[in-house]
This record gives sequence, C-alpha cells and structure tokens, in this order.
Amino acid sequence: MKFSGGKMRIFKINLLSLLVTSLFSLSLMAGGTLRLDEVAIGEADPAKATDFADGIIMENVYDALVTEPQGGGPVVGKLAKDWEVSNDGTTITFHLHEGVKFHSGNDFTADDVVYSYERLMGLKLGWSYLFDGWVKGIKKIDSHKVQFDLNEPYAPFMSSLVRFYIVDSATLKANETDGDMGQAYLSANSAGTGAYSITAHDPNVETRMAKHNKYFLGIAEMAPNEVILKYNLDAPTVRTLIANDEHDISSNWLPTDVKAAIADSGDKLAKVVSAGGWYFKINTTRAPLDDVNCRKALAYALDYDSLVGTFQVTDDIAAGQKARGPIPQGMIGYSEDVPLVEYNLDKARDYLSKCKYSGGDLDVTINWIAEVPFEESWALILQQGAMTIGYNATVETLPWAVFSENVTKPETTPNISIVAVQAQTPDPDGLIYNMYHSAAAGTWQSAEWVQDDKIDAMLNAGRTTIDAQKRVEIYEDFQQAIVDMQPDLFISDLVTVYAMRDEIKAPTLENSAEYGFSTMAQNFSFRLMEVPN
Amino acid sequence: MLIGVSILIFIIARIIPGDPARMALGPTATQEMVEQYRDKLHLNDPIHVQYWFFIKGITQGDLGESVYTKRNVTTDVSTYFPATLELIIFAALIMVCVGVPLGILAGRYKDKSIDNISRLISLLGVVTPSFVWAVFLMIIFAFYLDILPVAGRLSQDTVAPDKITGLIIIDSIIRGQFDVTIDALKHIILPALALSLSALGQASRLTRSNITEVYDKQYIEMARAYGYNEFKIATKYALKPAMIPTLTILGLDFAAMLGNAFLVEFVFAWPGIAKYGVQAILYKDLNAITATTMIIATFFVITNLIVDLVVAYLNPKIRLSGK
Repeated sequence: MKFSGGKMRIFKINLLSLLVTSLFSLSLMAGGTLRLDEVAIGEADPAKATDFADGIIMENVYDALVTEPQGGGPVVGKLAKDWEVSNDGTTITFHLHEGVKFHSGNDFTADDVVYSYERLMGLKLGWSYLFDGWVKGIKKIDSHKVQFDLNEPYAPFMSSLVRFYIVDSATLKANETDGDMGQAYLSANSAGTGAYSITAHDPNVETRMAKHNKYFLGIAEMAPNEVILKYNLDAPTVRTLIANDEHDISSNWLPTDVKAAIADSGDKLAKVVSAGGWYFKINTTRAPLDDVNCRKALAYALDYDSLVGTFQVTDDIAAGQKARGPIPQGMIGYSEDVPLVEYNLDKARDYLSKCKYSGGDLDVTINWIAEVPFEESWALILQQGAMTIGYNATVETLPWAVFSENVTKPETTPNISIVAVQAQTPDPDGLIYNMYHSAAAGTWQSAEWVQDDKIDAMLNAGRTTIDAQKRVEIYEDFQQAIVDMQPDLFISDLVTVYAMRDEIKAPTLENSAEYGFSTMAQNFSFRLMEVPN
Repeated sequence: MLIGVSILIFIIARIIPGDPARMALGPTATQEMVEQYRDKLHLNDPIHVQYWFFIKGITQGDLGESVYTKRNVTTDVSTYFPATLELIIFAALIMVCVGVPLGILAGRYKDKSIDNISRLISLLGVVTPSFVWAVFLMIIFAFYLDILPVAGRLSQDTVAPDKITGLIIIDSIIRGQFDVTIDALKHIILPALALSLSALGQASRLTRSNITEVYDKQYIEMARAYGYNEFKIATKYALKPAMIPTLTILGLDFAAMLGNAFLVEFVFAWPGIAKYGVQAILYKDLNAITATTMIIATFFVITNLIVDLVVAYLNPKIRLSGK
C-alpha cells in the first residue's frame, strides 16, 4: 500500500521550507553566530547519542529517513521520499531522495542506509535498543531503494526511525581506525547530510557547527552561519552573557527566577510543550503504597493549584500544564474523557480509610533529585498534603547517581520520587513502555515497579497492532487503566521554557504549538532560525 | 606515596553508588548493552584485576576511556590540565605579588592605618569563598561595567595559537600573536582574581605575622643601631627569615588551588581539569576520577618538593643540617 498522506505531508514540509527560504532570500544579509547552551555534555556520534544536548546536534547535523511532522500526526519522509509497507506489516521498502549530498560532497545512497544500520547495531549503543530484536535485516534493492524486514509487526517502527541517523559510509570507512567503525573520527567530526556540519567538538566545553550550504531542504538566508553550543554554563554566567548580547538561547534548566529576570530586562522567553511529563513516581511494591487506596488518597491530597503556581515564570509563561495521566496532551492515546484529579481532602481521607494500612504504618519518604533544586518545593507541597490526611511523610534528597542505582531494586526504590520523562520517539510506546511494562522495570523511568499482566498486555498490543485507530483505542484504555491504578501522581505535561535574546527569531521554539515538534530537540532546527549578523 | 594514593582512590571511586556503565549509556539502554559495556570497562572483573588493567594502561600512557566524554582520559587530561595550570599560575602570581607586599607593609607599619586596611582586605579574602568572589566580580566587571569577558579562555572569534605548552598566554607570546595574548589576559583576570583572593588574604596575614615577629628580634635592633637604612633592613635582614614559613604555606596554597578551582571554573566556563574532575565524580567516571586525583596528588608532591628545595636554599640551617 502507498502512503499518499505521507507524500502530502512531505510536500507540505518541503513547501514550508521553500517559503521560509524564499522569504529570507529577499534579504541580502547572511545570518550571524548563534550561541546557546545545554547542561549535559554533547555526543557527536549518531550511534551513541541519546541525551537532549545530543538531540540538538543530531537534529541539525544528521537526517533520518523520516521525521516528526509539523502539527503532529504520523511521521513524514525526510531522506525517504515515500515507502511501502507489506500487508502483514513486516516488510517496509523506502524510496530515497536523489541528489542529497553529505557534508563531504558524497552522494547519499542506499549503501549509506545499510551501513548506518549495521554500524548502529554493531556498536549496540545509543538508540540501537529501539530496533534490537524487531528488525530481521536490511537490504539494498537499488541505489535509492532499501528494504527493512521485521521479525513481526511492530507499530512503533516508523516512529523509531526518527532516531536512526544516516552517516556517510564512504567517509567513515576511509577514516576507520582499528576497525572502530569511525568512532574516533566522529568524536570530533561529522558525516551527515544535515543543514550544519561540525567544525569543532569538545564534549565537555562546546560544539561548533557551520552551515552546510548544499542542504537538500534549503536553509533560511538569515539562519546562523555558525552555531556554538556550549555545555554546563552556570546560571549567573548565562544571565550576564545574555545581558551583554554574548549569548542567544539558554537551556531549559536555568532557574525560574533567572528566566524571569531575563524577561524583565527586555529579552524574551519561548515556551515549548514536549511529549513527556513530570511525575511523582510511586513504588507500588512497598508498603503502605502497595495499596491502591493509599495511592489514591495521596492523589487527592496533592494541592494541584499550589503545584501549578510553581510553574509560573512570568504572568504569561508557565513552565507546566496540568496533566491528566501518563500520556501528554497531543500524543496518540491522550483522552479528554479521563477526568482530572482535583485537590479534595474529603475524598483523600475517604480513600485512606479504605487503605489496609493506618496509623504508624503510614510512613512514606518523598525523594527529590539533588541536581534539580526546584523539585524540593513540589516535594514539600506533597508532604504537606500527605501529613494533613495522616501520613508521616518525610522529604529527602538524593543525587542522581545514587537515585539511579537505588531504583534497580524494588526494595531500595524510594516510596515516592520526582522525575521527568520525555518520549524517546513520537509514538506513545516511546514514552510509556519504558515506564510501565514489567520487562522494563528497574530504571529511573520505571520507579513505579508496575508488574501487571493487564498493563503488559495493553502495551504489547500497542506494539503489534498495525491498525492506527485500534492503537488509539488501546492507548486511551491504557491511559484510564493507569489513572485507575495510580502508580504516579501526575504533576504536569513536560513544558520547557528557554530564555532568548530579543534579536533572535526562532519560530520553532517561539511558536512551538504551530510547529508541533514534540520529542527530544526537534524544535532546535537552526536552519529555520534568524540570527542578525 | 603515589601508588598508595592510586590504590586508595581506585577503591573509593568504586564504592561511590551508581553504575558507571548505566550512567554512560543512559536509562534506555538494555541490560544486555549495559553488561557489554561493563565488560569493555572490565567492571565485571575482580577489583585487583581492574587495578592491574589500570596500572598496565598507565605504563602505556593510556588512562582508559572516560564514560563521561567517551574519549580517552589521556586526551581529556591533556586538553583540560593546561587550562587549569594557566589559571592557577596566574592566581598564584596575584597571590604572591599582592598578598606578600601587603603583608610586608602591614608588618612594617603595624597598627597604623595601612595595617588596618591590609588586615581588612586579608580578612575579607579569607572568609569569602572563591565562588562568591567569582559571582561578585562577574556582576561588577562583566554585568554592570561590561569591561571584562565572563566565559571561556578566548573570545568566540579568536583562534587559539597552535599548541606548544597548552598555556594560551605563553603560546601566543612564543608565536608572536599578541592580540591573542591580550584577549587571553582579559579572560583570565576575573577567574584568577576570584581564585586568588582567599589565598591572597592568607599570604598577607602570614607575611604580616612573620614580619612582625622578625622586626621584634634583637638583630634588627642591632642593624638599626649600626645605622642601616630601613630598606636595607627590610630586604636583607627581615624579609628572608620571615619568608621561609610563608613560602611553605604559599606552596601548599598553590597546589590546593588545583583542586579548589572547580567552582571558579564552573562560574567562568573555564575548560579546566577541576571542573572535569567534579563532573567525573557526578557521572561516576572511574577512570577520570582516578586520573584527576592522581594528577592533583602528583602536583602536590612536585610543588612540595620545589618548596622544600627553595626553603633549603633560603635557610642554611636546613641546607647544612645533613652535613
């Protein structure tokens, strides 16, 4: 079957790119240098990259066969023009764009797709787990046609391909050292087709990127000529740099009051709603929270209005929006039919009376992550609610390294911990499987330790059901099932806020709702930004 | 001693909670991927075998792979150590060139207004942590006055000279790129000042105390009775004995700056080994933790050795005691 809808979206995305390019071409000026920062170190090798900072590099330096569409919905082609899926859903044949050039000047062909896949699975790092066990093989049909064979139908496969970045096989083979598949080369260079190429890379300091003028989707005239992505800048440093016009876009992790101060001094804030959420993760295996009524009691004892108040950066911008359940607004499976839980102490006490634990058995510890100081206020809000209805709640902080070690066993996983989870792919499976499937337990994403056959069956069905409408129904049912089970208290959908210098125009960040990019760093498309020279 | 330090830090680093392989690969990596990476890092081997691999690597100039930067630790160390060395040399220069004269003046003019001013400066320096100075200096000189840069070793458009020593100021002078020298000097002033102020206060107080003590000695009174001028008394008879205990402490302060530079490096985005070392601890990057600690320990040993030699040169009693 042909994906005619996909073709239409490809046409739209390319048309928009052309429009943006044409509009900016009216100006004779070229863009200047864009300077931004992120907290973690940057990984430049597409077979190893998984973090958000890595995502910014990948979005601009490499392309995948498909990408997330503007405005949401199924993936659309990027390096792939279109594709065909066999009736049983296990064979997917991609037709590739011709005339696409790598940074080296080499032509992009099916050989590069095959090599990129073999490299990803050979190194077994990064996003390789998305395909591990599902893909039987990949083969070149002709120079611009490639075929994936799956072991069984896997509905999130197309979404997973968003994280499968294509590398220049000829360049990497020429720069291979001791059979390292180009790892040493890619630690300081790039070999992609993206709108920018890496000119210098120090994973602990900064990555410099320069415009790739032969980019096949076009680049806005005023898009930055050079980009400097810095790592681990301190908040006062970012504040001073932006004030002195020496920095353009902050990371999301800048403290709220610093963001507010930047906005007060005439610069601006950009709000992006991402596919993910903030959760109070409840360890469902440890007393007293192994009883659903005890968990429900906490859900109604949480003062959501106070919680929402902490999101407010300025009068207009809030770094959060109330969540209905584990699946955020805009993602497949989100349902308005799932009722919002409201602060209601009478209901909370009612649920607590049905709980099998009482009195001295109601000891719980609420953990927040030491590296994320604003979590403390959320922990205190929950503590206050919990203590009001009869819990003996204590608040403790844990460094990330200790927390991620503790969650590997149910007996050491905290009663309640505060964590943000972002979807790995645009598919709901990329968010919720790692949180709730029993096979995925033992990581910080799955600190709930949900071990439930019904939940497992729903998640498995979501993976193997090809019919799109049936999948929506499965995930809507799943959303309700999780809310009923209450393994989490849902703090907020994931909303990120970036401080920006007033002169910068970044439509994908500033009008994120219109662009609709949702996962990882797809809003950081430098080629669509305007930076004065 | 260094072998002892290496064993100690090797064991301590492995006691810190957290799985380095999991930290490196991220939460989404499968257990199979984590185990494969643990094997690659020899983490599934007994600790004495791991230590053997570490020592074997060192003898071949290979400090192992960093799970934080995914590069060889040798590359990381050679990249970041010169930045910190340059910073602490500059900070030490400020400490000695300002702190010691301030202490001498305070000691010579004890209880006069210059002594009071000097003591106030010293006290402020000693009681205020470096990172507070860092933020304070940044607010004054970068945010409000905007006369000094606030981040990095060079401006974004300035190209670093080809590496000779790794110390940009020295390398740019050797290569005759004086515009780079000036840019590098502008960038190093604030972090070096922030790092030096507490050591400067200590140097000043110590020098003052020792100078005061020496000026109370009978031979100084004798020198005055002989009619020597005050400058000669100060430089020939007072300063030399007063500097011997000061020098020992200054040497320790200099070496300690290597470890203490973390917060200053963090505030001023200085790409140094101290910042790298702390990030390595947070990521439980075993090879990087061990390498950074070994470097700091080695630096302490070398600095102390140099100080002992200088003190022996200055003090004949020490120099000749073995004869």
